[in-house]
Amino acid sequence: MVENAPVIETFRISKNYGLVEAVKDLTVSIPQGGTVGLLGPNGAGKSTTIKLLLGLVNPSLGEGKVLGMDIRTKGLEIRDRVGYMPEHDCFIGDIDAVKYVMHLGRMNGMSVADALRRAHEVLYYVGLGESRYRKIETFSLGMKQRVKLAQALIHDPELLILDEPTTGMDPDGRIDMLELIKDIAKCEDKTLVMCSHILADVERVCDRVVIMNRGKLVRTGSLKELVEGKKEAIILRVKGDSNLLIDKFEREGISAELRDDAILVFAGNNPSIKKKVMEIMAEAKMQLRYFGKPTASLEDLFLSTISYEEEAEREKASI
Amino acid sequence: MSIESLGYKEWEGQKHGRFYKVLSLVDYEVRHAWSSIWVKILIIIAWLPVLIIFLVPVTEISEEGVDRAFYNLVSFTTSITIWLPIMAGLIGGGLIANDKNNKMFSMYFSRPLRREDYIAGKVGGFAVLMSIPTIVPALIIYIVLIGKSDLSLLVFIKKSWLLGAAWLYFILLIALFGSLVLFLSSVVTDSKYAVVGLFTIVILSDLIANLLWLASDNEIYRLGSLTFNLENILAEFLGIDQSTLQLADQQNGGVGGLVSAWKSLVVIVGITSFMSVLTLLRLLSLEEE
Repeated sequence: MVENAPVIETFRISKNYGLVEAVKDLTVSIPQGGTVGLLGPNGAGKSTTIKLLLGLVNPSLGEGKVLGMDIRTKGLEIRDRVGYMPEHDCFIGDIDAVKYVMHLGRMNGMSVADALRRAHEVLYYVGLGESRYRKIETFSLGMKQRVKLAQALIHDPELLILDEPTTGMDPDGRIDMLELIKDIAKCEDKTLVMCSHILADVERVCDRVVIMNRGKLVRTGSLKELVEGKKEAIILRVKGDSNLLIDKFEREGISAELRDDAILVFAGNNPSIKKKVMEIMAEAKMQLRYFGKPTASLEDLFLSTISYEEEAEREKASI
Repeated sequence: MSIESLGYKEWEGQKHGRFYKVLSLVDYEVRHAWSSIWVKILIIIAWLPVLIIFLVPVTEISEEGVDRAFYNLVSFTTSITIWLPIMAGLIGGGLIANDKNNKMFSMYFSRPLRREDYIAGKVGGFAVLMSIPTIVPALIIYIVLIGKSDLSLLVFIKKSWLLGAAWLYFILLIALFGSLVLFLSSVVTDSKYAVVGLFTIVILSDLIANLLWLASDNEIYRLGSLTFNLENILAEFLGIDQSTLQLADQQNGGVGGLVSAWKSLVVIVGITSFMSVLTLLRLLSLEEE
């Protein structure tokens, strides 16, 4: 792979299952290193995107590369260098953790000796050193998640795709798992893609996010930039008709939207926006009850992005 | 992170090709099946004729009575036919069904493992396990006969076709039951259903074919019975006198006519090929599930 080339690069890929468009026109570029959060509600197309990236299914349209290799033709080569931790349990219950991880290492082409040594190593790393000879069927949910992480790491992949890695874990176990993910991400040549519904987890470990909805990419970028961008907004609470005020803002070219009982005004990088907002409010003779910056989090960003997209979809449908 | 962990360690090593992965899968399947007590019991039962031949003296058999000596091999081949469907069900029933039930496909196919290699590994595992109670003991019986009798080596060389025929018959048997049980295993998620399905096919084919044959007096219907076809092929392969079978058939109320063994062979090879193609298509489509 070319130095600093994107690890994942897709150009307008779509995947249709019959009449259902699971992924639509997805164009995304993920640079090498760090952890990327793949977010989206159920049915957003995350699982299909993972299958496309692993070369398990071919896109109906578009092109894509993972680690510099074509996803249409180089599926096996891609999977050789990618580790995948699936969301659901997939275990051979009646064998112990060492045998299980070793068996999957051999499926990657590792020799018996290498697979055995590495199985011990990764099981220790994920914190299952003491339980590695126990049958997997006796493991708790959290321990099973760790085994899944261990099997994904056995061949030391360059790209690690983790699907809901903290599902079913207790708070302590969750923190341990996130620390492990952060630790793996410290390796400069490794890139992690983490799908999760738990936005706090994503916020904790990811430095970039890709947000999908209904098969489409709705937002992507550095988590810091996206959340900071949100912080550039102003939040207002007024006595009176908020919608009337929003209309006035929009007539003056200021982007604003109603959020619960407050008005969110998008300030961007315009330093004179506060003054302008105050002038409009004075003109409208509206009593101000609150003026400040919103507390921005990934959850805010996610919810506002998804609801905006859904509203836009509804509007399009009504036209 | 665990307290004993020294952080993430990178790995550098040689990775082997697809043939190695197939062998690894075969190795795993054999070891995994061997951990079942039932598989061990059935294999021990199948090996009983070998143990008996070790204990029974065969040195007094003269050259004229050589066929009697080889009767050990023939009777072993015949008796194993009864055990083979049970063995096939027990070993093959869970080969794919268990992976489906455990959702192991996402683990296997997210790795650089081709679907064809997965199928080859499963078939290989099944074949190795099934050869333990068939091909291997037949060879041992033959060697024991050589070692324990006073017959000249030339007689054994002359009769070696019998071992070859027994092996060919076992291969046919393993292929037939393998294709049936692997297909059944690929469509169910519980291995029990695959076993029940296999027995149902064997029993029903026999029942329906015999009913149709008795009702119509038309021999051709007998080709519908798996067991009849296998017996017919076995008799042809091992050179068993067909007239005795014919007589026994008449004594049991049958018409005594015999269907050509080659027709039976065509039926068995046809069923095996058809089921193999079905299994292959089924497994290649499983990626989308």
